[in-house]
Amino acid sequence: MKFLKLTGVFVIGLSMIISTSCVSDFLEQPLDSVITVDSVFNNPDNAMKAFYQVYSTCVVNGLINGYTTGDWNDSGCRDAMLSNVCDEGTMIGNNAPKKYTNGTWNATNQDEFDIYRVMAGIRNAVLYVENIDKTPYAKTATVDWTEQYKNQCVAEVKILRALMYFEMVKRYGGVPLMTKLPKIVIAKEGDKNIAKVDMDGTRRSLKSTFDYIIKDCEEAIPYLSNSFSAAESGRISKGAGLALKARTLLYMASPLFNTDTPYLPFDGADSLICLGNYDQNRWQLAADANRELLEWASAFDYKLLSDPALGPGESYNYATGLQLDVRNKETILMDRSHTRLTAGCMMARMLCPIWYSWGNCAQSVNIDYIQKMYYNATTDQPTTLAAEGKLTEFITKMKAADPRLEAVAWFPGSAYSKNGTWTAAGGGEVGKMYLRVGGYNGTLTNVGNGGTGVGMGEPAGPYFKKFINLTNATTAVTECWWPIFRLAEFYLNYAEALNEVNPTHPDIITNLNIIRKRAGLQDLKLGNPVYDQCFGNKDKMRSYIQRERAIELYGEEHRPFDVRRWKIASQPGVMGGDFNKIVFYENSTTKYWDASAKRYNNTDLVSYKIEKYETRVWKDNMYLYPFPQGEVNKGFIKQNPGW
Amino acid sequence: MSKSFKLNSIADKTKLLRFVLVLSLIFNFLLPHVFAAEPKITVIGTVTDASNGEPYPGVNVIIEGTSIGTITDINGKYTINVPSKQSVLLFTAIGFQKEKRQVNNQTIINLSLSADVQTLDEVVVVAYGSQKKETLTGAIANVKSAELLRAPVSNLTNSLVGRMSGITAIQRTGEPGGDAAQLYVRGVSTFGGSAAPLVLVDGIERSYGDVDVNEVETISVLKDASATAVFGVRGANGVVIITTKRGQEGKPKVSLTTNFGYQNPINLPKLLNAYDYATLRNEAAKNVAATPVFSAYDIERYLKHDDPVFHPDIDWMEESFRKYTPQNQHNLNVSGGTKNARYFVSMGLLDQDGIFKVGNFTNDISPNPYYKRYNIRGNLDFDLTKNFSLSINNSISIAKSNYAGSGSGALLGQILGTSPLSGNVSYNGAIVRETEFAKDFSITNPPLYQLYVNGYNQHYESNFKMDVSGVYKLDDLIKGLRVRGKFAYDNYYKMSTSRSKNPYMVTLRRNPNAKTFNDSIVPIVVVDRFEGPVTAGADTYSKNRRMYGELALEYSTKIEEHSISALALGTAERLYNGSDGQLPFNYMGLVGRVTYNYKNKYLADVNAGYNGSENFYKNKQFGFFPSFSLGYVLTEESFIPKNEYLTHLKIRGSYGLVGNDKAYSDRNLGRFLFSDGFTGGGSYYFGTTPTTLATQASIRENTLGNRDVTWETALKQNIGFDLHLFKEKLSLSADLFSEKRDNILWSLNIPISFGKPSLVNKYNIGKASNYGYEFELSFNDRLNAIKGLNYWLKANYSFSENKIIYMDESPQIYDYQYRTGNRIGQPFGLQALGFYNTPEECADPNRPKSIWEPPTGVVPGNIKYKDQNGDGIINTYDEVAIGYPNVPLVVYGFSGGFEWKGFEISVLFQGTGMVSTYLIGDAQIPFGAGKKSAMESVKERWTPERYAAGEPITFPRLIPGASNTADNDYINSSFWQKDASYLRLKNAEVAYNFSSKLLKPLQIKSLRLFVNGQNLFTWSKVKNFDPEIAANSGGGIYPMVRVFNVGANISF
Repeated sequence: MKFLKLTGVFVIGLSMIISTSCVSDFLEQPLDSVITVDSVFNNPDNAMKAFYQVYSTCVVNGLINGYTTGDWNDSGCRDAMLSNVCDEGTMIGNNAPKKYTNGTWNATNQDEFDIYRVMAGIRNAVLYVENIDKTPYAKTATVDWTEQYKNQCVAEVKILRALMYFEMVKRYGGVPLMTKLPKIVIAKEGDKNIAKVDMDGTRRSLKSTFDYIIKDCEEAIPYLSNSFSAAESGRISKGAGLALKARTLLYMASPLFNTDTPYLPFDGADSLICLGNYDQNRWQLAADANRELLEWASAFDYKLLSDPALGPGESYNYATGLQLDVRNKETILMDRSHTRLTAGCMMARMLCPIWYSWGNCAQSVNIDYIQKMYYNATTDQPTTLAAEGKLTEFITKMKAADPRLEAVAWFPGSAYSKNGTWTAAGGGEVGKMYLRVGGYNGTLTNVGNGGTGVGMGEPAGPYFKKFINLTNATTAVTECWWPIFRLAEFYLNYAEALNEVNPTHPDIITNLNIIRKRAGLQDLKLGNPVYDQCFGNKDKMRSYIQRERAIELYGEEHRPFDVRRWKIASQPGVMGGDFNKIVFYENSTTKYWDASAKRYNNTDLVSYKIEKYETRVWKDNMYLYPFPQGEVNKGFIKQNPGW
Repeated sequence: MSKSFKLNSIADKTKLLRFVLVLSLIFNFLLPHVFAAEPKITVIGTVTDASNGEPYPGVNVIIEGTSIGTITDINGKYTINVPSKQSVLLFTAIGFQKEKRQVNNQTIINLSLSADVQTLDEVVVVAYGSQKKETLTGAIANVKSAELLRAPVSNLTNSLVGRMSGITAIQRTGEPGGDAAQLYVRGVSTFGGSAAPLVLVDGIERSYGDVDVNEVETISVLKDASATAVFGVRGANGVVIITTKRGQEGKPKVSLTTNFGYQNPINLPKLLNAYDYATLRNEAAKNVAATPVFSAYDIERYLKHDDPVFHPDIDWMEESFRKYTPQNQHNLNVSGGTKNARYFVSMGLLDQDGIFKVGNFTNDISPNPYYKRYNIRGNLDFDLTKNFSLSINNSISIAKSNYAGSGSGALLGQILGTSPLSGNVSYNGAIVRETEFAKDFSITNPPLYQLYVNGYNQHYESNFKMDVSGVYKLDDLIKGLRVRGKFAYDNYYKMSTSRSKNPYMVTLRRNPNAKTFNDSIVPIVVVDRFEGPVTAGADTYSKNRRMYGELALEYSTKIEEHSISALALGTAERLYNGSDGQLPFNYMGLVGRVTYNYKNKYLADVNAGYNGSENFYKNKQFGFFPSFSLGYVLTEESFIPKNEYLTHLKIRGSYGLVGNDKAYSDRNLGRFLFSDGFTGGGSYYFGTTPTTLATQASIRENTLGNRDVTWETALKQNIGFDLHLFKEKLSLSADLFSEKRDNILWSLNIPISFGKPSLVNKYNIGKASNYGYEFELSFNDRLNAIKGLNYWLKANYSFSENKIIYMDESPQIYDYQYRTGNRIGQPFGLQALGFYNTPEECADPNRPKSIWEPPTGVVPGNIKYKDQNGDGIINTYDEVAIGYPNVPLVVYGFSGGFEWKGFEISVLFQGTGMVSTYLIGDAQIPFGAGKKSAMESVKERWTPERYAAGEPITFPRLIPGASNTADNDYINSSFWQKDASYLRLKNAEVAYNFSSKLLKPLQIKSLRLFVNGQNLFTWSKVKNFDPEIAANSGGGIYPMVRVFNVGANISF
């Protein structure tokens, strides 16, 4: 009896023990509830997903597609193109980009470049490179995973990573390098658990950073593919690798970096922001690399879009605004982080002055910039406007300027789009404008054909229209993509580098003429004022190339960094100093605009006046960006000088 | 004794034997004695209640040392056969002091029982069981049903306030159904996970806000490691155990309580009237060199109130809130039982109405909040055999609640922000959307519009909780051994529906052709919108279910003077949270406890929990949490005489480890922090045709697992004493505690070079400490001078202060900027130094310049700040620790009352100290956006005239549309921080108990009528809002309510 009772107790005791020993079941997290790094890289299909993730995060995107809508929107600066922070343009109706030009830019309000997004992209690339060897070679339904294909994919990932580092180095100088995938390590220090990142989180020298980009390019280029099938179009080609290397070497050779004297003293940390010496050979390397890219491009049928049916201005317009047009063979790499910009996209809302349903902003092409850069197409002399004059004079001079002006700017007397469809909403030949009605101090009034114009305010006059002027006016879907590497740049790069090492090299002229020819300008040759004054004169030719670059690459996020690397940003009128606006006004009480007849009575009744609009602030610390203050506060990053 | 108990046959004898077996809970091993001793003497008597002399039924009369006993009948009479003259009769009844009488030669023993004023014999609910207070070594506070019922509150959590030491209950809002207090035990000890205690209802973690106060027997708050270690990873924040009532053997006792109350919103903002508003708004405009907004004509109208449409003067508090809204609460319960089956059945109803004035603008939509709750509970106990008893607890609460579709917060925000000029609420029975003149001073959605257009949001909730537990005594095997088990199943379901409808609305326009004043004040009514059909919003459902099981072996014995008890218990719990689409939450644990005492003098407890949860990585799921405690009852020592002055003195201390895993189930943090996680990635488009670009599937790193993730650990120490003096009239209990919290889950200072810092899960790196003390004092006495006046006084006081020891904080330039070393939740801000009063001060070239001051510099009436780092610039580097966190460091309560001839009066005062709050938005800024409301307090603004006249100045110079990020005066600073400490007359009650003589003919056992109130008076420095308002609130908070209540309790 007693035995039975004892057995009873034993059973109860046992059941309690069993109930806790089956914890392995009770407390187990189901295996299928997470995806780990191993399950990503154990088969080619999943590994390709990780590969495409690198593409989707290593993005260079200069278009506005919505500042606050997600992680991957790189919008120049907030709801504005980056053009507004240099002499290219001025935003009207949106003060967000003003901070870069009015002296209030600081380490906490930089919203042009998301270093967190970029580092996420780099991490994805490093993760891929470190783990891809785990993936077994096999042919699956979607991919034939071979060693050769793996090498190609790794090469593409390395270029994407290098591209992100390039985006950082041109803004910050030397940055921390993720040479391996960092992990968190917990160390006991006294009675505290201290968490440490097992990588060097401090900035590397500028040279190490540039070298890392070049090394990635050189490792990758041999494995990159020259071309892709239609479905794969958009991936990193050998040309993209060569282009990145070429552009990087040009930056390395440029005065901002290629020096032993940094733009500002930087107590003992000069190597973070300059290369430590001037080396003429850097220009030679840049010239060689750019020539190599141009040779590759010509071998694979890349060329500037020059269609007689479109004419010079519109050929240029299509080259930048319609990247996927069959005629367009000059884009080496473009941003494809969106299919297209949808109806009502920020691009149209914030930039298009005649967007007819909503939006309240616009961007002007600075009148100073037009006068300084866009020379008369036939005489190759500056387009100079008197401080005051008739509208007709203004229109005549604009029309006579470099045809690329009409492709980027919309001014009174010009069409918003020649072949696009915006005309229906007000882009007629004698386009809309803001006019001071009833004299110089009259009310700013929107006049013109079609829908309501937006972009109220001054500086009015020439409006920015590049990229968006081919937008579908009915659906407002914008089919434009950001050109990361466009062939035209590399002719200019080559010419620029070559001029530094050998100013009499004939390739300089040959390459510049390729650009000029498509633009509808006469060739540089004996008798041409540019040729006569500049060829062989390193300094004058440099200035000319800089001006040509300012026109050809307008709005493509080159100018703000070009003026830095050339170290000319501090010159008055470039980034800082007085900027002018152009005001159009009715001379008399005779109405210029006959509202009932919906027509312009007499163009001569309108005058223009150029007068000071604002004074922009440039400080030399702006040669490089400030790191976000929050990052500096973490104690790893040394802030750039002057911030 | 009833007929069946007569010893007529062997069978009956066996029946009696069984009966006695069942009756015996503790002493059944003595059964042989029952047979040995034949009854010799019959004793009879009557037991009365000392307080009123009435016969008292249901008193247990037991022969000491045996299990033989009886109970008194309805007339308080009993009859018992005792074995000898030496026998001692023990009289016990719940709530009364026990009495002993030796039989000697008496055959009639009458006595009266006095109410139990002392607490020594009290049994206190502890983790997985109960212990006698006398031998308790842990820090445990408890409160009983009678006290809880004094407060006419709708949520149980609010009845705890001020009644116990060591518990902080903060009520942030008074919204029906949403007014639960935030609970903290001994303050806050963590900055990572939740600091909320574990709350158990009848031993199982459950929702508790929906428990009817009438169902509650006791609430125990377990504070130190000794009391909480057995809860292991869940116990570190303290444990609150709510125990429901059970039936007692006896005739059915029917108790009906009915309460009729009124809620009255308190501490409402006092807003400027139209005239003051217009005048001061003009002053604000003048201060920024803007044109005055209101003409002399306008101001005259506001003064004369002769143009109510275009120059209205709306008191939005008056317009929006009803002064009194009903709150009713009723409960009917029946309890009783036989010797082997007992029951407690309760039915409750709570009906609480919201305070909005909604008018009758549409029929089918009422956005006014209400909360109606029905509670049903049946607690049953069965003694099935002599060794086996079974208990079943069933409860269901069904609640229906209604809220304004826009949410009370948004609505209250609108009401607060609307200027008195914004236009009439209604005109000729229609809601006014906009008034022409008021355009600039109305907000886009006027309150009534907002209230109606967004309709209502209704919730139906049902919460079913059931548990079955059984105890099987194994005395036959080993004396004192028993096994018990419990299984619980809870099921919660909630359905929410929202509906809205446009009411008929009008816009009032000026008559442009008005020639005379009288014409000009009559508006042209333009229809804004017609009454529309009801629009159905989304219906949502949520549900969860919990299963819980426990199995325990218990052993207790007494060998000579050594009392030993032991407990081994295993638990397992699974919670399915259906609404989250999550994997179930699982817990599993083992609990061990050994208590020992020698002669009730030397006490020792060892408690240990070994438990784990699935939220941690394999092999790291389980933790071991031991605690030790010792007690020493000095008054049991021979060298300390126990006399009528000193009746009890116990010193006790505990030391142990407890865990807190509350951070890990937080949805915001995500479950399973230990796992790496990849998830669907971003898009990138390939192809050549613009219209057919295609993205490829991608996958991205989402989180990096932290395989070391673990619970917080709390190393707790407690030392305290319990002292009873003057014949148990005065008792004092005091505790001193300290705690070191380690492994607090906190984010790391990760550099950008790592990748996205948000990839990295939190790590167990944080450390914090908490220390404090608390005491409880109670005094009971009867004043013989005034015949039969019993009075009592109670007080409790708790202080706790925490400190962040380590949190991997980013390096700071100045030491004073570190959060580390400060209290958890310590506010930081600029230190305000008063005002710039003279132009000379403003012009001083050496004064520090604020980065928020206008380019032209400060002017008199602006706030002056301290330049902490002396760099001549006031910026965020000058922010220092200011004031106190929003959870008070000090909480206290004191209460008192008396009973006299059936009258009872009691009051409870309750308060907090060392606490700050900070109001923002419309609660801080007058004329927000240039057109919002302003409080009366702005009258004490800085003006040169007021300064010259030496008038009190509590507000900076007025400006319209200030910003708290851009304007010097409104930057986060000590100027706006408010001392949120308060003292409240939390509760007062006057009651009358009718004498049973009067009631007897009516077949009523007792009748108590009472009038009580909650939140009756508040003394606080916080103006315009209740001091318990959450910090950084913009004032969009449903007001706190005062409750006036009358009620009756009848029992049959």
